[in-house]
Amino acid sequence: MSEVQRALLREELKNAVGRDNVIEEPEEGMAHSLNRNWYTRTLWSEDREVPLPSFVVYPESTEQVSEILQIANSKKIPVTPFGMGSSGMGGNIPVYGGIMVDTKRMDEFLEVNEESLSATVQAGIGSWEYEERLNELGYTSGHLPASQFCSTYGGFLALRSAGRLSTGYGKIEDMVLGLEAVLPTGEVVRTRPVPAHASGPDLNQLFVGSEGAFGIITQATMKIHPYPEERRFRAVIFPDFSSGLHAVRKIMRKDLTPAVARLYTEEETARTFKETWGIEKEGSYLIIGFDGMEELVDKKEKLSLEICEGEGGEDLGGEKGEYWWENRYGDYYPKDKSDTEKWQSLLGGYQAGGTVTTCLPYDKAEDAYKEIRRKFKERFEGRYKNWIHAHFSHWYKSGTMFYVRWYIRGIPEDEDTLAVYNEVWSTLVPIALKYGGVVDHHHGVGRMLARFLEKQDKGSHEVLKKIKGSLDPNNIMNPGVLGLGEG
Amino acid sequence: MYIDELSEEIEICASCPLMCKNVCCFHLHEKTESSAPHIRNLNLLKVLNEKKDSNEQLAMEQLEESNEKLYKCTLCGQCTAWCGKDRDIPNNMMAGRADLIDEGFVPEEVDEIRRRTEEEHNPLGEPHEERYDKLDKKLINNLSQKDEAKVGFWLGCVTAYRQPEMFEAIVKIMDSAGIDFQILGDEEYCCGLPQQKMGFRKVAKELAEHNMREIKDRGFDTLLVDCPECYRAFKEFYPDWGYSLDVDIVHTSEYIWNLIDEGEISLNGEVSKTITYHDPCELARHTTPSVRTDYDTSDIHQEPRKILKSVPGIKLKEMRWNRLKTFCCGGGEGVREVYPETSEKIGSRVIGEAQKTGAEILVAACPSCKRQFSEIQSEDKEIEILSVPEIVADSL
Repeated sequence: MSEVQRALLREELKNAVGRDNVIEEPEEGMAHSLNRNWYTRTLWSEDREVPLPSFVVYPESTEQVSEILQIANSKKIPVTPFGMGSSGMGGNIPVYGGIMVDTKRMDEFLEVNEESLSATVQAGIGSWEYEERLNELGYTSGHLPASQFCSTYGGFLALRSAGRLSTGYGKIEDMVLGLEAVLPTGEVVRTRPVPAHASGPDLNQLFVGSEGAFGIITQATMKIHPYPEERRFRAVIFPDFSSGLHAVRKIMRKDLTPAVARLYTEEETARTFKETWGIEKEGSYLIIGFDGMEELVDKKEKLSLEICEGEGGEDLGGEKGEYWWENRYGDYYPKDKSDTEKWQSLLGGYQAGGTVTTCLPYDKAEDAYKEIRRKFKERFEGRYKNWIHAHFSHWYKSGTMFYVRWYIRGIPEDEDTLAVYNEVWSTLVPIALKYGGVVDHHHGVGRMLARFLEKQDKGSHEVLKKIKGSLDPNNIMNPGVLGLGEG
Repeated sequence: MYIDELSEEIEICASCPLMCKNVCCFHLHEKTESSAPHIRNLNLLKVLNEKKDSNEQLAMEQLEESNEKLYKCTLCGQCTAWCGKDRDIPNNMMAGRADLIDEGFVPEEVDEIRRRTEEEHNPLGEPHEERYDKLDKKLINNLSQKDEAKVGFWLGCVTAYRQPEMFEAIVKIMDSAGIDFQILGDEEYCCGLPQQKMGFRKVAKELAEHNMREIKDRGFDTLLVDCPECYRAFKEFYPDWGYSLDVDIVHTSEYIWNLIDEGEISLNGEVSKTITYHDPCELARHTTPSVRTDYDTSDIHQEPRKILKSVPGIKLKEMRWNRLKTFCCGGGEGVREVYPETSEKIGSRVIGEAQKTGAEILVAACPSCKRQFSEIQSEDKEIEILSVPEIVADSL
């Protein structure tokens, strides 16, 4: 962009959103680019060039978002949408520069409909703020992800987020009733917030998971729930991971639907619960929790524990389950430098870490995880210091999600860290696909995994390409995410 | 450099995945990414990294670039209270500010505080000889000369210059309890904590040295302190600097509660009002054992509430953000001077939360919070701003 073009664009953006809502300082762009992204943090740590936007723009209304996109579209300038920056999949890295549209100044809690159990918010509202506001009124969103303190509702919707209680309350796509979005060409789309319809395809779901490729979500009406009368957790240890998997499958099959079930493989049980919590028992650890009326919680818990016992599970009592809930965010705060392997991967350079989250039918899940672990070890053991382990934490009647955390350190300085990182994904994701799984379950595809989406299903990806071509003829909206709009 | 000693803390905060940005009062109001606590730490980490690579000049350039950005923090400690590992981010910011000043990169608005303090012994820029001009001169002279009284009372600059009614309430309470006390009069200088927070460590220590000498000379058994910032200075910073006061430091809310509890004063006057209490950061967080355990400290959430609940007719309603998780008034050192608009917005949020409770009175236990709320409240004054001692004095 020449200086003349830049000066003219600056003026147009300032006219559209107000002078205070356009920031050009590289530091602001850098703060957006770094955030939670492994890629950019590694570039920064290794003194390599970090991609920056030319402008960070903070719209305060849907109309302003529309104006920004009309300007960008007319000049064919790439736009990257941004919420609070908790995404780790690179979908908010401004790889083509251009305009970063940060939605956090659109954070109004607009309305709550207590009779119909819904709340309407602007897309930039913080997740924790929203939940607190609902709690004050006696409600909950039911959506409490690990990124609770650094995420927005627009971000959740754009990435098909899942919270810790998704087994009971559903994922974000199950919670949205209606939304408003601005198309890449500036038009505004509004869907009606109704619980169901047969008025053609569900356009909510066109934007949910679109990662900004089809426009910017500006407002949403979400389902809410009365705050549960009873919330209870329990811990169970199984002799092995396989028996735990069968137990939770049977619990789901009997419609005992817990709010949360987190089954940790033997490796993660040993690493997380033995080392951190001092639980000496070996095997596979399960946290299970129920929300609702006390009588129902009593019954569901009792029946679920009986199923667990039938699969060899030993009930460790409520205290350990409650402890997990109370400390569920504790693991995200590095306690000291020696504890920060996972967070050093966000900053230290010459190391890499990530999480494969996929979703599979029950009959494939165990084999798929075992092969992922085996292939990772075969390929990287001996080359680098590494670890890999998993838990299964979002359950359905027809299948489950596993969350495979991997980590590599000690990458020699003469090797390209980014290449090692990409090699890990290239090793692991195809295995999930081979077993019938998906590229991702709740972190999104971003740029990091975009190359696999076509392999998941070529025909489906072609449909996405056609939609992209129609809605975004100039490919301005977040080019590259979902494998769309590049080249 | 001061930040060298905190390199591990700074690195950890810079790499932490953004977990405290949702409670940072500055970030919540400016709503920019660069104002988030982890980015402020990242700026300091850049300086440290350049130093580690022996790029002294680049380190200095980086530090200079950080300049005003390090003042995008009220030092309220909400991040620390929120952090799962109690990381002391305000401490990192204070060290960064001290380095800025040592290297000559101090923002003009901040340097003004140093100049005022050096000239007038207070950060407000008011003439020292006018410190008690808003109070009864005879009373001040009398209290300044009561050498025999074993209880001392520390007014603090904001009470003396801006909130004299808080001191008048204290006098009324002490009279009612029949307790003789004295004040330092002209020898009371700023406690030094505002200067320490701004980064003027040398100035802060000079003030502390003077105050220590004067307090010791008086031979008090007990020094009563109402301003939470001064209280923290005496309890935490003076010992850290090696200045022992040889006196029991007691906050007025602890003292007044004891007077009520032991029947030394009786609260008979009815105050039929709904009130809400704002916990000042210094009292609620920085002197709370769960946050800091490395100095003699006390947890002062309960005493002000016990006092207020013992006033006949008062109905106490809690704000959403209270006790350890209290929201800053926005008047923290640096922000008020360098970013006055943001400071005002932060304070307005507390007033808004207070109004949501249905309270008619917002009670502050800190002269600086009271001053901040009083100054930013809209002209129609929808909520009355009072202090704990004033409520008590009204009920005597």
